[in-house]
Amino acid sequence: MEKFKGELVGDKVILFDKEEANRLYKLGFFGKFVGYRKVKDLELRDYLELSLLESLYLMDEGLLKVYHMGRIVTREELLNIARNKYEHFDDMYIVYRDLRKKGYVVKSGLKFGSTFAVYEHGPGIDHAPFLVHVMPYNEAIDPIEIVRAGRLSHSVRKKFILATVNPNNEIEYYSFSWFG
Amino acid sequence: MRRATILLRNNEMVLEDPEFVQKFYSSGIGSLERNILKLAPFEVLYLVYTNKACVLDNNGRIIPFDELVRRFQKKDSDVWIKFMVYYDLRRRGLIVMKGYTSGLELRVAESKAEKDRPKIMVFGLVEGRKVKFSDIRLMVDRSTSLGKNIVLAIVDKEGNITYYTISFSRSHIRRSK
Repeated sequence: MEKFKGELVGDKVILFDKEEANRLYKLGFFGKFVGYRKVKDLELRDYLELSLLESLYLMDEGLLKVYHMGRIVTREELLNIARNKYEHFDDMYIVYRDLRKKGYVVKSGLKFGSTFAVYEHGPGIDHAPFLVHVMPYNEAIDPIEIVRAGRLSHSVRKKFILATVNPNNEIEYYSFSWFG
Repeated sequence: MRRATILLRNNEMVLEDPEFVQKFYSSGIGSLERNILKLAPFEVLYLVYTNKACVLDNNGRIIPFDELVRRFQKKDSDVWIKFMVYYDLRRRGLIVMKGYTSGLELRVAESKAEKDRPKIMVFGLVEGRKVKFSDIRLMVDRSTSLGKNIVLAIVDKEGNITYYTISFSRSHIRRSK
């Protein structure tokens, strides 16, 4: 299988080869084309910016090699950068990987107020992604968070799911619906 | 309308009048032991508040509602919240019964026919009182193992109650290569 080449720039990995970028994007809607907010044309060719989550996942899948100033960046190096940048990165990654492995397209959910926006087919194809918010298992939550999760599902018509990684190597997914 | 008389006996609240025992028990109130109905504090508050019963102390004096609240509160600081949730559910026409633990837990049936096999477990959560995922998981597991649907009753700072159902799934972690 093709191995894509990315360059670590700050906390992003960039694919400067536009043909490769196009192929990788089409493989699973990975990354974001520089300068495009929404991709309507899958034949787009531009630089592609990958997040640390995506990069690590693609690295683990044996699809990506990351370089920095001419040398290869190891998985551990990439992981350390991510851990320094994001609190609970490991939990985020475990959930990201689980959802990707289940065949979903996982993108940032920031604009909806969640960690991930998850698509069955891909952004621009299915209209309403479901939202997955990753929380650390040991962090106690105020019940108001449950109401928020339930309300958000209702108001944006997107299922809102809380995900947490428990100490028994399981990911727990919770969704809440208003019960009148 | 005649009110039932609840008696305080050995720190328990009991009802002996067969007419009321039958009437209340059939609507899911109290637990029946040798023809005597034993009541939980929040059930007593409900019956007194709705004027269905009064409570007599050992001297035959009626204990007013506020005094009951103060007495019960000494043993259970959550008694008011339990009463509020219980009352709210009753007001919605549901059959509400004590849970299996002394926590904020109730069993709910949607009709009298379902009374012996209530389908819903209600767990109370209070705004500002944080819960761990492990607590939520425990609630989910208990409800599932009992074959009941779970509903959370979330009580806010003003005593308003909002209900939510939970859908739960889990996945084993896939280890990185």
